[in-house]
Amino acid sequence: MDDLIDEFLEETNENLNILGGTLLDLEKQPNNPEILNEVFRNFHTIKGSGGALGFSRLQRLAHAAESVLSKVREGKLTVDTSLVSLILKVIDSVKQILEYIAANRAEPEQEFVDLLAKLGQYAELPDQIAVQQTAQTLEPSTPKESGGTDRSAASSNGTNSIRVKLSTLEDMMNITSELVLIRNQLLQILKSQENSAFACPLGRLNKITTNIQETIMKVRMQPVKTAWTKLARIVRDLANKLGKQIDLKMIGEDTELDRQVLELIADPFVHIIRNSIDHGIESPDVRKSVGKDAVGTITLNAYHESGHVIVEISDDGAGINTAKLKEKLLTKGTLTQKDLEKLTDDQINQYIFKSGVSTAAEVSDVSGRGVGMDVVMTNINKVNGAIDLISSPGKGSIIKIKIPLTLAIAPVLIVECNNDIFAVPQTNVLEILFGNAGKKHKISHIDGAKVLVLRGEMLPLVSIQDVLNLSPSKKEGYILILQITHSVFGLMVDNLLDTEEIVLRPPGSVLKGIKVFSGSAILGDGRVVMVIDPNSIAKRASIGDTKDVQSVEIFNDKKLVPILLFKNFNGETNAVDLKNISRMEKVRKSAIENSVNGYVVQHNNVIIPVVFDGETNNSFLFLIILQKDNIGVAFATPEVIDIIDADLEIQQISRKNGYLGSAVIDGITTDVLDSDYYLNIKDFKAIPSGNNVATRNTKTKLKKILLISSNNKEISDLQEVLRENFDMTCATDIHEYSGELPEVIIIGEYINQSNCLEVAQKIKTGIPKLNPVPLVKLFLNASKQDVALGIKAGILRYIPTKNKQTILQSLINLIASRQSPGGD
Amino acid sequence: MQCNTKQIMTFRISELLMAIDVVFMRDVLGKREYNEVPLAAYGISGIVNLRGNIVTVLDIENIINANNQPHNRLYNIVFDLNSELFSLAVDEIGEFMDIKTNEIEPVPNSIDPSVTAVSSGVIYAKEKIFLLLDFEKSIKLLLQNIETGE
Repeated sequence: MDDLIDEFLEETNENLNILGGTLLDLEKQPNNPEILNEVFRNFHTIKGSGGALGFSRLQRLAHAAESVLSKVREGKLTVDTSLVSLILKVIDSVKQILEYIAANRAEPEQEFVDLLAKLGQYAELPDQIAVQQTAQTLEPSTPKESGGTDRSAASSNGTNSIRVKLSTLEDMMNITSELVLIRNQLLQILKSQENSAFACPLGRLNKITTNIQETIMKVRMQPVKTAWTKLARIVRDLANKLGKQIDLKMIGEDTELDRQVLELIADPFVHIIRNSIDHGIESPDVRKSVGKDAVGTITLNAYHESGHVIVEISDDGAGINTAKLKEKLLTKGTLTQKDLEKLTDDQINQYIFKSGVSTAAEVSDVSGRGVGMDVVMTNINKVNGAIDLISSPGKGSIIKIKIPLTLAIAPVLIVECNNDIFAVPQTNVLEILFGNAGKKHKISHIDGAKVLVLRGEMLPLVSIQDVLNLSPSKKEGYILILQITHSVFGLMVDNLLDTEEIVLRPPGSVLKGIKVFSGSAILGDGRVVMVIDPNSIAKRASIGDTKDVQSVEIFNDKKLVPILLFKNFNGETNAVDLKNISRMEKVRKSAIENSVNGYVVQHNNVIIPVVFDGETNNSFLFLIILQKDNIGVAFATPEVIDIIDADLEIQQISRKNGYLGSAVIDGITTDVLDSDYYLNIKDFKAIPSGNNVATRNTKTKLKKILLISSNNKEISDLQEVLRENFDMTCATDIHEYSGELPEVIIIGEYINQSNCLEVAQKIKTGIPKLNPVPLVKLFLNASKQDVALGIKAGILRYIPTKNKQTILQSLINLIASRQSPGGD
Repeated sequence: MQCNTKQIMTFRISELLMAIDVVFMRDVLGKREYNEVPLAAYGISGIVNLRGNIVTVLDIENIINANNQPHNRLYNIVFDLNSELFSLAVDEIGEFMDIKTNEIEPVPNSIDPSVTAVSSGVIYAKEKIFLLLDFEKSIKLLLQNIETGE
């Protein structure tokens, strides 16, 4: 019984799919008796087999539909849109029942009363009224050219196909590949033997095996039509819902694709079509006003091209609203205004394939969430396909999908690493380079990562040994340049062995966890090989999200800016934009002094913090003085190279503070200094060397500080120095203060030791809310003993008053260090 | 009490005497050259082509000890678990025996819990004690190695 039901379900589902398409044909050609008969026959079959299995509701529904159709056959009713809609609803309900049966092995309780009643109405309608009704609606359903007219003729010839279980097919595939392997082995043996008696029969075996293999591959092929039939229904329903008139044309629907591929790209078709209907095709009024035919056309075209199947989905709608898309991208923060200016409209249009992007003004149940096109991209990538979009405003858009014929057989490159072999899919390989560094391309190191400079472009470089945790190899082998979804990178391997066509097998259950392999395969000589997944390799090597980099690379207009090239203490070339440099000076190494807050240099009686990042034996150093507003910071370097005009195009965003990233300047990979970073440093400890200071001008809300002092001169002096950076309040005693919590409490220079300790004591025991506030003491002369006692009492820092600037600097640093986690 | 009989095959891996239920067994093969799989969990020695099937080679000792020690084992026992083929590398093949299911005793507490984790009992036969290997439990332990290994 179960088998019978399964068979029934399978058969009926297939019938229903065909029926859906046939009905739409009938709508277009209401007077074609052949099509009508086929629809009728289909319902009759469903009724019959449903009844035989005791599914009475199914039988009743099919019977009701049949009654209506028989009226049509007798000429008492004419086919119109509402009738077709009704029958389509019947199909939906039948599908619903089938789903229920599949899950529960019994019919659902639901009685389709409404639907049956409506069908009954139609069937019992007096003849004249029915004719009248249809006369009114006849006009929009005038016969139109259809791609599927010959369908009824084809299927009425009877079927000369049989149903085969998928698993049987897969078994056949596997057995065949085994046969191929044995054949290969035999041929190998034959080569070593001259004048063998086996030569002739083996030759024949060879040929037949190839034939079998090809035939089996053919069995897996299905016409693209199977994925398209449901589209016709979607177009009809959506167009009706949105009040649009759309004609769906299909060309090349018999083009065949591997069923695995077809399954994966069926969804993308739906999403693209939905988009075309919702956003592409305009409403009839709009279309008429711009001089187009009121009926929009969506064309599906499938054809072969150089080993791939190309599917084109074109519409004659409005095309993509690039202006709206730009707006969307801006508000979403995907791109900045600057990016947009640099991109052509075509490049911007490609962004519709990114997640979360939609030009729809509001989200509807049709589209607008920006998810659909993302699905398209993901699935197309899964089948190693490519997608292209051409949109001409006002004229329509074409989406071109390039799909490999089959996933089952993939051309791969066999590479060798430490005597292990791996396969790399050839679809990802852009080019292959010899690995000897320093020839035509250069391998540099940035942030400890390898980078390949190839024709002025910078590519991340990964060694296969590193990614796979193999022992490092000494060989300078080859570099494969691999294209992955969002970027390009280089993969270093020891040796290239061969190219081969493989049958990709999914990885075993215990190997699935290793993401870097997409599966395994058996080579012609019987060896097994793991197949590398370049996307996962990139992810593992955290080349990852190089989208930003890519968008930078698209920009073509090179802006030349004057830059200063200099060496850092590791001998690497660095660059900095000249516009931030106020001057350069050659100083003795001894001029750089070590203060409490790191290295400083005196310049025109002003103390400037120095970024002195490294060790050197040179007695002279160059100071690059960066300046902005009143803030200055010096950058020490052992050697200044040159000032040149160069394109400061950052190709690799830096992960290290203080650097914008890396650019190729004069063919050399150069780290570019982020001068703003040094000028805006909050916390000097964050400077890589850990020994540097910088001033900061807090433009935001000024930090509150409290000064305890009764000396008017001191108060006014400090006020002047600190005004820019702090909001200072004064009090003669800590108890007097009742304002908001200050960032720092300063005990003035003229408060003597005992009073100072008293203040600290009072805060500690009497005012708990001030406990976490750092306490500092200004001093001119203080004995070691006093300082020790003070610190014991809770004073955090003693600041000398000799130089007022030092006080400011100390306070800034103190606050900054307390704000940064782990500071102080 | 039910007294079903079972056929088992005994084998040796290093110092461990083990036995498996023959219903899982598909093949016993000599030594095979296998391909190592980088980044694989402890206990996965590699993959090998067995008559057109790609089979994962397991090493029970490495599963138990959670390491990737290379061993030079002379035999492969191919077994089928949920219609996926695996191969078990062993040092020595013993013999087939019929046992009664009530002869299977629980694994003594004194044995290393990792060893217990791959077996479903012990059998005393021919004056030796054999550990009855449980494939499903072994795979489970192996997959734990993946989780903790990364």
